[in-house]
Amino acid sequence: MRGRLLITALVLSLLAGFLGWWATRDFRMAAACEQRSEAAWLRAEFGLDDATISRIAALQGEFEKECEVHCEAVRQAKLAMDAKPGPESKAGLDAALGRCERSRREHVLAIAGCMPPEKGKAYFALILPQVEALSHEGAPGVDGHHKAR
Amino acid sequence: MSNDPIDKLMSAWQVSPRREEGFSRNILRGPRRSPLVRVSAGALAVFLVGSLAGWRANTQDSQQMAKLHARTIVEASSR
Repeated sequence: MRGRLLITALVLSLLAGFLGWWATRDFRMAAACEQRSEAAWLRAEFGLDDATISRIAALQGEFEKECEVHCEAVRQAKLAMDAKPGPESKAGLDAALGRCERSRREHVLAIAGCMPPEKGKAYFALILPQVEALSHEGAPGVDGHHKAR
Repeated sequence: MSNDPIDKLMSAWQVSPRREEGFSRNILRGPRRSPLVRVSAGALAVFLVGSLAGWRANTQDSQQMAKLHARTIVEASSR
């Protein structure tokens, strides 16, 4: 009798634990993370609709082109620095890196601007520190562009 | 009949540990709760632990995806 009561209590507890986990777990987020889909994550985390996701994708496409120009400028500035080190070439490199950083910040702001104000604020607060924490000066890849690290 | 003084007899007197525990427990913590109440309290505690685990998993997923998204922005031109 006592053993049966103990088993019932144990099963009930396990069920309660599973129920608690199931009630709080965001399965859309879990699926987005498993598929490593940023669009699905943005949809789950910030409750965005398809139109907003499309606008963000378009912004990202434009930014990729813009970033390519900045990367090339940074590469040229580094070559100039290697060829003729000095305050002038250093200023050129700093300016190129500054442009790159500014454009990244503006891109994050532009994405946040696509969202409802509260969600946009949350997005900006979550993503900007991560973007700023990533160094853009890792070893260049085979395509000549720098990877984050 | 012993002729020892009453103080000596009293100091030698001991309550059995089982009786003592039951007695002090009832005084200090009140009578034992019914099994149903105890099972419910345990289930509630496990429910809360499960909820916490779910919440933590969400936070971890969110952090992981935020990092991936930030990396995509920083590496935009390299793709």
